[in-house]
Amino acid sequence: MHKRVILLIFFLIISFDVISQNFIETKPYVYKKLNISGSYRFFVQHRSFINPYITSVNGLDTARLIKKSILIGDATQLPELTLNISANPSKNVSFGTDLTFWNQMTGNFDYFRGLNLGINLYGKFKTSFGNYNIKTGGIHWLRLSRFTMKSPEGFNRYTLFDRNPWDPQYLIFSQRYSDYYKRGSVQQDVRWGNKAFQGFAIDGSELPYGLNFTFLYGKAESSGVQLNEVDNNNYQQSIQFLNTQFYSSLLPSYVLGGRLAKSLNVGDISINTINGYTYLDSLGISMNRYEFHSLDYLLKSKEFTFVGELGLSKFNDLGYDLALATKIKTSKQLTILPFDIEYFYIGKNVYNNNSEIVNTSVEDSQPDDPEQGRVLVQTGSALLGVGSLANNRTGLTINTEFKVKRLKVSFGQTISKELERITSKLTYARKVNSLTLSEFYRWEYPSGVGPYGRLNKVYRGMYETVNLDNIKQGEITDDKFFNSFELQAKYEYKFKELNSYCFYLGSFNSAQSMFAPFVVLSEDAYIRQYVHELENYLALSSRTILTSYFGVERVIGNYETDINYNTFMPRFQTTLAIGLGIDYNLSRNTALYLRHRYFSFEDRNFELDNNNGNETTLELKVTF
Amino acid sequence: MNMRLVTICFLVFAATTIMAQERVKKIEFYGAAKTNILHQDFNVAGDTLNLSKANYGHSLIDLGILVRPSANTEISTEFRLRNELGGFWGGAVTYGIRKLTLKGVVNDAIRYKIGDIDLEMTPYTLFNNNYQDVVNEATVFKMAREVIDYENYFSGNAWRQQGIQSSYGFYLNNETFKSIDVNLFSTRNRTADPSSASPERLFSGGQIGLNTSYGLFTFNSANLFDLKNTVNDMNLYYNLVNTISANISLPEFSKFSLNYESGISKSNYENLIEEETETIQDYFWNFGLIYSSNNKIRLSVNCINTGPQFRSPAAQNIRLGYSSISNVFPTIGNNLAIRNMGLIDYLYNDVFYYKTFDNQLDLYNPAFSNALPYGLATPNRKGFSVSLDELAVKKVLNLSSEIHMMSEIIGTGTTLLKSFMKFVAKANYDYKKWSANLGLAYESTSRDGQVYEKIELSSILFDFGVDFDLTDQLSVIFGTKYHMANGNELLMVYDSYNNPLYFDPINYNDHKQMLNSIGIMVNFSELSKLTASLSSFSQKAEQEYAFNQIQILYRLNF
Repeated sequence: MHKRVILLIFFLIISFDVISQNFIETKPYVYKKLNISGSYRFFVQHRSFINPYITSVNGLDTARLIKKSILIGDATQLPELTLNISANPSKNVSFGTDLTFWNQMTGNFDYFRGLNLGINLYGKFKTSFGNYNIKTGGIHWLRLSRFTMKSPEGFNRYTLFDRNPWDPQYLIFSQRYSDYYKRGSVQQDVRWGNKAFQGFAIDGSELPYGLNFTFLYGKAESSGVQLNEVDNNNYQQSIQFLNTQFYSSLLPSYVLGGRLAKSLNVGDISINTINGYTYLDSLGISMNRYEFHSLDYLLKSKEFTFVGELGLSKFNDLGYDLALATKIKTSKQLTILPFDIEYFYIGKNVYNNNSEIVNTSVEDSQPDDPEQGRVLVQTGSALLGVGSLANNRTGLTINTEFKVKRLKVSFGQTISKELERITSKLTYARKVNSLTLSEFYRWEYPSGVGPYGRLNKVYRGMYETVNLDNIKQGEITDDKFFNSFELQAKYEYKFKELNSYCFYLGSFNSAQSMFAPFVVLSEDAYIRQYVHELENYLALSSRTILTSYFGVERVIGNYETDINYNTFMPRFQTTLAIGLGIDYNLSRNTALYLRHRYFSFEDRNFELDNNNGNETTLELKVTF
Repeated sequence: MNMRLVTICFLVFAATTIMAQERVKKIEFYGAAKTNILHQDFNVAGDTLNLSKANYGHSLIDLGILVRPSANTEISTEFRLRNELGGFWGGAVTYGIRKLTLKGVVNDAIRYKIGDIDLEMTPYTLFNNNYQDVVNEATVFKMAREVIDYENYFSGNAWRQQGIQSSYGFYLNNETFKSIDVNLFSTRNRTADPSSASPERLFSGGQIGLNTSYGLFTFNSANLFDLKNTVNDMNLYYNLVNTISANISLPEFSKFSLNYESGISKSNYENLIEEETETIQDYFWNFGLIYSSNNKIRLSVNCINTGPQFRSPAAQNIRLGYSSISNVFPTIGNNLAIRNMGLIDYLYNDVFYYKTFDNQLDLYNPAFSNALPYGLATPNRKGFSVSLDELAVKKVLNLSSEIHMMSEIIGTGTTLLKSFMKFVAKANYDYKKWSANLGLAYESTSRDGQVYEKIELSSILFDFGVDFDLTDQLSVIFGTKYHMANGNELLMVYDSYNNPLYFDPINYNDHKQMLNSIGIMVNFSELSKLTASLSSFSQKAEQEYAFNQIQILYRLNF
């Protein structure tokens, strides 16, 4: 019987035609054009202290950083390999994301994987009432206005010796330096001047009456949520698709904002608003509720340009307060030197951590951990750069520039005053060796650290807190006045027929108890800060640039600031940096950047605040 | 010369042909991306201990990669990147693999698939039953429903399984018996767990179909079984379901056709410690007559009998885990009681959907489905159903309806039998810029007898939606869902052999829940849509609460 069955099956197989199958029976709709670009950045740093930095003091014990260390990978969580993936599946939709990978070469082959800028989805559609662009997901980099949502751009006065991870590479190797000389800025990526945002945003343009608008709803950095740690291994096996897997709470912190603008023949005018809801407790009862509504304008004529913004802000139960920044720009034809004069008044209750305004006066109970919504900005009564805005402050900023043959000079000054006496603390940012100092704390953003517990880390920088002795009978006795002056000179010269560049940046700041028309250079100032930075970029060949840097910073406090009870003297800090490096173009889109820096910090009156050493960094960057 | 030209032409032609055959793209991409943002307000009178608002969401990209090493082999994988809303700078990012499948053809005849495969056979053998909270859903809800489908691999009525599948066929060169199709599969239902002495469990089976001039006759087999000696065995389970199905059309009666399926199941529960074996077996049959005329109307009548001991784990299942809870507002009231989930949770929140099946009959919710909670394969049912599958009226209105009149075959906990009636009606209207859809499902359950055995339960599920196209790309969409349940039921709780263990009395005292949504839908392209909707939900039952919700959902397929 079995034989018969086998024979029958055999007969069936050999005698009947085998049905030819279509291979792909349910072929997915395939999309072929996937754009992949990105960069590879190997970054290694060797740091060797001569006199190691003291991280903390416990009684007579001092904890110091290890004398020598080799650090692989950028300390500001910027990856080794970034793949930017994007596509336009149809003319109306597109998406983009990035994959980031890095490995600190610890020997365990554990690659960190992540997203840098998130997952961005775009769509656009047209109607007879205008054209609309929609953005969802994020991180999107957006701006509304200076008071509502924007990062400060300043007057483009910075140094180039320290390389940023996002610095682009050019076909013409020296373009980074020539751009800075010619245009006054280095090409920055999409983040420059914008704020990070996740959620939903829609832009409407070509609306009736010359209107256009932006509306956004989602989470800004200031409304970040509390997240649990991610376990990728378990995640893949079990709760892959739960919506809430990473939230330790579902606190509904979010921002809601928008801008309605009208184009005019002479410029444009717009109204802006942002409303923030940041919850502080697990029951969603306590929250920071803030709002900012403003009107901004840009009006141009041949000889003048008027730019400004006027707004009202409210924080929790505090009353509405006023913010104003109005600027007039004059042309060379009118004033020989082009002037940029701005008056600003930012009330003490004005609050918006999404704006250019630094919060120095409103206690917002934000957590210290940046992953829990901490906004990484300088706090307290801050010595800020020229043109920077802070609440509880009014002032005037003047800037101008001129050119003499190949020498370009720009300078500016801000004179400001605090409106009310709120705090007896001052803060100032360290300028020279600031990045080096911030990398003493890798992967974290501590505050109140250092040998005297007065250093605070922000993104790629540090600031220091100064305690003032100006309280009598429970009252702050004096107002605070601030002066900042910046001078920049940029010079282009030829070496071996190639353009080379020399830049100088001087920054002088003071805070004192009385008005002064210029930076106070005497003991009358609580704090004086003088900074000189000189850079030279010498093109040895079309593929090689010799870079050099010299920086010196001095900060002097008076006797109304912190006193060291060993020396009975206030701050007298000197920071020194001497740098030398090479930019070498290995091939198209591939370059090697070597930097060596001698760094030194000494406070001659605070004996523990002394360190010096050498730091060498090697960066190999490939863009594609 | 001519010969040379001919030779060259031949070589060029041959080379071109070969190149054309090889011109299969070796790597192609496809995928989907999504942003889902939810803002919810949870309103409960007098509740001061629970969070009353939630704002969360995520974005993700599933990047599908098709790799074709040769013209007859294809590897497809889907790589997932997900970022929670609010997770900045690489926080709350996860990577995952959603799919990995190899498929190919051997000798241009035998197809095979290995890895993640979607399997479906008949409603009695291998079938992922439909949602029970849907009749004819509005567009505004369909957008959210498609997310659930996608995330849980619900594709039609197929189950996503992991294993191997192969299919092939033969032409029989006979006018009556045309061809034979064979489809075989074997998948892994669960892995061995030594700690609980759970052996490796496989699910294997297939179909052999005979295509004849009278229709298709198919033998179906589904077997869920434990592999011996994969752990220190204490219990072994084996379940087989073998059925024969037929779809017969006679040329003499072109407007009529017959469908038929019948089969048996056998479950073995082998206790190796006690050396006992419990065997449960039963049968079912389903006989139907279909009338269809001019493509405008299709009517079918079916007689159904499914034995009380009929067990088919791959077909007797429900999608929604009714006993699961959401992480969104999980508790209610100042006594922090577990919140009973409602329609809004089923559609938007993270309640649990079964992604596979097991040997146990899952908990069902009689308020949503009591007549056929496990689909057509629901055990212990007999009766008939009449279905109006399609009735088109002037190309703008489509109607469909079905009614099931069922009863138990044997009593559960009593000698008296429950009677069930299920009525479903659907209407779709499409005229110019307007389209509307309506759905109604009504169920009633009754059993006479003493007070302790008397059952009266009725439920209504109502779906309604209206869409209005403002432009080619922009529509206003509205939808409502309403559910009501009233009465009592003795809910069966099964033992490990899937026999009723005890009866849990359940009372619905005019239990009502309603979900209303209105929104705007942007059609960026055929494959990419965005909806922004406002929803309100209220539940009036033992727990009374309300939700207000904003959802922004952008689904982009490429």
